[in-house]
Amino acid sequence: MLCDVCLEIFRGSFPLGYTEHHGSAQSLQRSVLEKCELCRIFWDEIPSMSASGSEDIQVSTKYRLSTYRDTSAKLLEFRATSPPYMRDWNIFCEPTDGTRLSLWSSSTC
Amino acid sequence: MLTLGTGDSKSSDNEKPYDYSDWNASMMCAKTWLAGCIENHSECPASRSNRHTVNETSHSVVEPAPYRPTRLLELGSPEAGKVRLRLSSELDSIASHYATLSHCWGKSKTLRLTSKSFQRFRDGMAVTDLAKTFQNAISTAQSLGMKLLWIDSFCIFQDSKEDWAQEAGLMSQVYRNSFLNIAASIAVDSDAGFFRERASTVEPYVVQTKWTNHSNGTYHIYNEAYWFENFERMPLNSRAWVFQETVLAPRILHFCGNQMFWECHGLKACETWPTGLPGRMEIQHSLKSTRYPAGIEIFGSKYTNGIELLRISTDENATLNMTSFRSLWRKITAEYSQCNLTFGSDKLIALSGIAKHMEQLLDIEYCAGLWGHDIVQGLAWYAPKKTERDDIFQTEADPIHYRAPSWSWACTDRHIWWYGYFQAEGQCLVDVIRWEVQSATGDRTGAVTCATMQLSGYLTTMELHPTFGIEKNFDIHCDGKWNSMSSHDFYFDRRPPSFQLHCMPLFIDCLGYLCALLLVPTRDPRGQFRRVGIFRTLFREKKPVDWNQLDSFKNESWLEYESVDDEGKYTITII
Repeated sequence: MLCDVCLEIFRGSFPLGYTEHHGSAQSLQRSVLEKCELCRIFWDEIPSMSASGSEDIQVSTKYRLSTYRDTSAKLLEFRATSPPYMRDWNIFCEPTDGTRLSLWSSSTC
Repeated sequence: MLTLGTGDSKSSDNEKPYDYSDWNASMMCAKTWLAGCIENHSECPASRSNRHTVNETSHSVVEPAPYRPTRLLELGSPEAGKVRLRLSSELDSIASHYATLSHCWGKSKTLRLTSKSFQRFRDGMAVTDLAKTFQNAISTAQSLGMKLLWIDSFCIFQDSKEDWAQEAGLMSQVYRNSFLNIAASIAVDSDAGFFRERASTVEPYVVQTKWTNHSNGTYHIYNEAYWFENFERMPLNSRAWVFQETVLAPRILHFCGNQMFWECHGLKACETWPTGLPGRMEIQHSLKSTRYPAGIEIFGSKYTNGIELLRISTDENATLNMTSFRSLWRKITAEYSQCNLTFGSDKLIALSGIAKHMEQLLDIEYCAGLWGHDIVQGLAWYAPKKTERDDIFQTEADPIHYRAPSWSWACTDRHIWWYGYFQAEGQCLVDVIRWEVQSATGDRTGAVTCATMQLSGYLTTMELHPTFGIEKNFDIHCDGKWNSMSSHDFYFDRRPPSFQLHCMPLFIDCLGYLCALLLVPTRDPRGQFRRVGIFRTLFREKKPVDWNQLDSFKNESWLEYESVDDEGKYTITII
């Protein structure tokens, strides 16, 4: 599932430029606890951005969505900032083209 | 209203392809990978083109393998709950292929094959008496219809140095001819086991967009670093002994905790992406990828059990040529250097399976981690600093026991990389007169007790002086002039015993960079040196040092060498 914050990426206006995501570590952690598929990708790496660990870390995240190199794929870039550190993650959104992964239909199962 | 494809549950539409928490379904997935590889992958060894066939209904193999290890575990039915140690000579010639296991030994002291336990293994050992990782491996092999399994702990006597030495030398063949290698990737030791609860997130995440000002669609969403996060970071992948097992094995089923991964030369997949990983996922580290075409030639389908040799072509357009060979070997050694060894003295031994395979298949000479036909490139390794802030000299202690000459990358525990020497465009500045390697056991790819290399080339003195007395940056005295180290790339393997260095250029690469060895004399005998590092500088730059005038450099009185010829080339020996 996705948290409400991440859901916003895929509905309403197509996001242009960097857009605020989670404004605090607490907000991000809540989404992780809700098992948000996107937030948990970078949550594990957040503590490494602070010497004091995740308890009192000041972190904010933002994202940018764009078409990937003139393909039908989208590139979703997340950026976490915890001064003086910054880290980026690339998430790809690959069109399913209406097909599911075909191993199962062609296999013996 | 927004519809998220895999919002609250995993799939928005239609039924699930299978229940991912179901072990049988996971095994069916593995069987499908296995059958697909056997049937369709011409780039994989033991594919159908290599005369092996698979029974369509059970996926069990019906034709014999060409090679069998000395001993194998014969797996009875799961109900029997016992395994028996069998000698290869006792097995029916039409018996099925064997699987192998790659695992972390860890520190657990579990039941192993010894002279004491031998008879128990011969009579039939209860599976429940074995450590959990081995129990899981046996279950997996049985589920896949395999009747024979090779596990080092049970197929090599662990209390016999002779047997270990004998069988370790056969390791390349054991894994090379394995029908399937089961990798206990998540297990940190023999007791840990590798069956874990299947993750609910195994299905690819799908989202259906509802933008108001943009065309909408349904997308698979994945992290670019998915392969690294879920596969490469597994404990097994950091073990040096396992490295060659996974390179040599034709196909590997990795148990990575929340799901299985598949790796062969024809397919990289996982349960989330069973038909192949998405194209934009970063899997650059896989040696089984098309990025290393020489790897497919050497470890893939072209292997012919030693009947026919492969040649490294001089044709730049050939798949296996000098460039692709170098690229492969540099990748192998760089990756291997990042793996951990319990005993540093095993550095060359734990890679000997790969070296032996390459030596035999390509008819090339191995030389303490380097290749005789490409020795100058082989000398151009370096140990990069982890960060720019790191000290210029490593703080790690040198190995206590001799394991490799200072000119071989195998002498260091550090992560290594290479300066590229592109022969076609570059210029070699050194002649290798001879090298001599004494092996511990007679196996040239194994442990080394002593090695020397005699070189002839330009030789200069180079003295370092810490700038302002701080060993962060150095001034260099070379060719009678002072200049700053910052105009060169210096990489030290170890702290030199003296800052009075000798420098022997190796080559100028295609980009115009001069690459040179940094040496210190042993003084016993005169003209003998140890390598302490490497440096690189732009050759065309005439200032502060004009490297184009190498033959007329002003050297200091402490210059040492064995002899010098009329062209100003010095002969030295490096140990």
